[in-house]
Amino acid sequence: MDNLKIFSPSNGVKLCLMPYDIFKTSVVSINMAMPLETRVEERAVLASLLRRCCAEYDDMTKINRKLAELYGAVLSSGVSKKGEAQFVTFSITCVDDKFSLSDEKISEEGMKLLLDLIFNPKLVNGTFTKEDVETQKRLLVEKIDSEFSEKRIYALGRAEEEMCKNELYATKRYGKRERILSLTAEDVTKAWKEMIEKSIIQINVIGSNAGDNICKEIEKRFENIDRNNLCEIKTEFVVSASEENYVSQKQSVKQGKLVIGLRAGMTDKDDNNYAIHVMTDIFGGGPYSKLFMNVREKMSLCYYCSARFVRSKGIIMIQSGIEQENEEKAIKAIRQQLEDMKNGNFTKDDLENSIKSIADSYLSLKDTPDGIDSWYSGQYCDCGDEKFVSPEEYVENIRKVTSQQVQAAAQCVSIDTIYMLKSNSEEGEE
Amino acid sequence: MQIEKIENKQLNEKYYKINHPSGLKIFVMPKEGYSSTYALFGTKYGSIDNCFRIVGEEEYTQVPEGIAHFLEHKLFESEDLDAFERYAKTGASANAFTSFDRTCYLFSCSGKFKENLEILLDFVQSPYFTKQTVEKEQGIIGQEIRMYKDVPSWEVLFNLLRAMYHNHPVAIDIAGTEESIAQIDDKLLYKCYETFYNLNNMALAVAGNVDVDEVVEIADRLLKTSKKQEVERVFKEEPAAIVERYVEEKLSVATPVFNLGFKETWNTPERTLKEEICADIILEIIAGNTSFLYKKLIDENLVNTSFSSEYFTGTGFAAMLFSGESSDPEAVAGKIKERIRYYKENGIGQEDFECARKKLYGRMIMSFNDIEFLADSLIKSEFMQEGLFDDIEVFKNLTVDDINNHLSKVLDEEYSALSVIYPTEEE
Repeated sequence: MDNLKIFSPSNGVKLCLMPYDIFKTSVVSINMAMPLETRVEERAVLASLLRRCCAEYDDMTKINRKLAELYGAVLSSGVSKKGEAQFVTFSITCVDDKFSLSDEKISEEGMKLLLDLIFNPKLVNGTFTKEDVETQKRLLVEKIDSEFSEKRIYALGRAEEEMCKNELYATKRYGKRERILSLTAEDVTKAWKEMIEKSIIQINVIGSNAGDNICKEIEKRFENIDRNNLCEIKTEFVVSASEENYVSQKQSVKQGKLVIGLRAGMTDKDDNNYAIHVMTDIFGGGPYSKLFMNVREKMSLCYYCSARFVRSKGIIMIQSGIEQENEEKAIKAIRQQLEDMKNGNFTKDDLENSIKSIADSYLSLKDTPDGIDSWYSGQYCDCGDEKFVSPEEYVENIRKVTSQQVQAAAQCVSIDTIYMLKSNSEEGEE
Repeated sequence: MQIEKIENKQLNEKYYKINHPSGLKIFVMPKEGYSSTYALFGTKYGSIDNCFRIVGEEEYTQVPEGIAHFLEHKLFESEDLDAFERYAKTGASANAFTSFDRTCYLFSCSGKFKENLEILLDFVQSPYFTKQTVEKEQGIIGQEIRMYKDVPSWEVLFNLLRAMYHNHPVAIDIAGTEESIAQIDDKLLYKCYETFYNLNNMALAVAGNVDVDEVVEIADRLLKTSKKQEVERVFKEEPAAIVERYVEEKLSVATPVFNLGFKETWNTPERTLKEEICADIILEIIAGNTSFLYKKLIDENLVNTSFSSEYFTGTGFAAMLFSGESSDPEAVAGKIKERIRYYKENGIGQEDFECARKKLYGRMIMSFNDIEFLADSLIKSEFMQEGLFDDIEVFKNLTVDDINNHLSKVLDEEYSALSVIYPTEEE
């Protein structure tokens, strides 16, 4: 991308300025990555704790009032998992100053607030308060519980957990429920210090306010932070499944949820990435894919059946909602489609359609600030000081993929785990 | 043919409105600097339109629940290539959705816009239903219906709607039931199609990287002029009273999920923009994340960050909803009602009003980044007979008296119902 400027305000921190004038907003996002290994739960608590208050606005209502006064600035924080890294993300979206009714500096204030949350939190005698930490622990545990209630998400999470049980990847993005409950305010404070000192950080600024002066403001925040011992992030890639596992579980659901986890044959995130992406798309991407056309349209077995490529871990996850009496039929049909990919039973049109579809959607990404933000977020943590890849460059590589490469990619794919969430009553009814 | 340009200087935005001779209303909103285009072709026809006639017909037609959604699925098919196969050749991503009172077909693309618009206009105007293809779809939609039965937020809402509405079809599932869709056949689909997919009852909106002339050129070429007809929809009279105050169900959830609704009764079937904005501001003040209530519920461990409110309205129905997860939904409902009583007695103050107005005004401006939202809003505002920029004027002219006046007419406890999903025993 031609209008991407990169600065290094501190060791292990990249600031990416993306001046766009087509939006009515500016977005600042701060992404902090650490291994999915220790203090995962502390950082999950931190993500919402830091969003809740800071030294200047010491409770949730005050912060939210301030945001409302900043014309409904949207402040969000979240935790995600990419490969075997845990990302803690904070972002703020503000309308441009020109829309203010009395010449307020909305973006500048918004940015300052965001930085304050992370670098100037509400501490009493050097630690977070017990009360604030306890509230966030409860809210986080309830968030974990609500994933249990969404069965499609739950089933996918369980399948990943079973498949990667001997890898860090089995850890959920929020970590373990029991461990969250046992955390103290001191634990969380320690993890906060560690996070600002050791995490790999990428800051994106997107919009008309993405001027060079921002770099100074950010440098200042890091001035007194010791960033000489950064963490190291790496992800274990399992090239192929050693054997096929089958796991099923019963709950009171009305429809069975089938998840099949595949190893994509990769040794790292760049290993044959483009061919595997195209292969996964032909196999189970859009409504033109083999899974959709056969398992849904021809066999009427389901409403959804699709495959998603998780490049950061070298796995492919297939998901479908089916009647449990059709389980064998569905698995057999999915296997058949995968065999067809391995045998090269797809047409030149199938290949072209997938490439066009991937290209079309990637080239639309830069029409929303969120699209741009999520595309670039985490690239620094992934590639270190290598060049950032734009959607256009990615698409160029996708367009070079050939049928032979797709078939070869399919041949390296192996089924690792089949997971089925079943109903605990006979006909799937209660 | 008349092309009207509608502009807003403050937002620096414009769109074109075209009364096409075919009967279709067309909206085009070019967005400078955007690479993609989003198009939406919609009909004012949704899950609630189950009893109707074309004016002049002798008898009313009563159709099975879920037929509008079924028709949406089937319209993608044709005698040769179905619409998805055609879009596959252009790379566009295409979809469709059915709501209570609208059915829309859409695509988004960053290239080959003309071809994509041709596909959209062509397939929506070319129904092809046979006995075999209808049967095949029953299996697929049956699984879609079952999928939603495992989604607690969906179940809790429809249970609430059934507790609030005696007769209004908003209380039936958009996709119908496995039994109702079994009654659908090709003839019924054609009947619904002829009634509601008349261009006079439809609108097309395109936003993003687009030029008004290219849309008009394709429309001129592909739109088949519809004969003028007027559709009469029949809704049984809906009493002001609710059906039952409390309803519960058990599902595999970790924490109970609730919806609390306050049914409203009005003299006209649809709410004006001003009424909707008043409702949004009231909900923001009572239950938004800056409110006294929100803080209290969080501090007392009664709700979590999933707590939210919304104004739920369409043709012939309107309700304010509060939803979330709680270990004690009845206590939450009690606190919400207590807070509503407080505001009804003491009125909403100027400061709270200004704060909420500023927030919602800013959010409205932000939404102008999003071409999907814009195309959708253009269709919605056409069906509501409003303009896309009308919001701004309403926001500017609104006073705290308007808000208090609106508050006095809504959120009546007598018409409130609570719906809860509790965990099944084993969880």
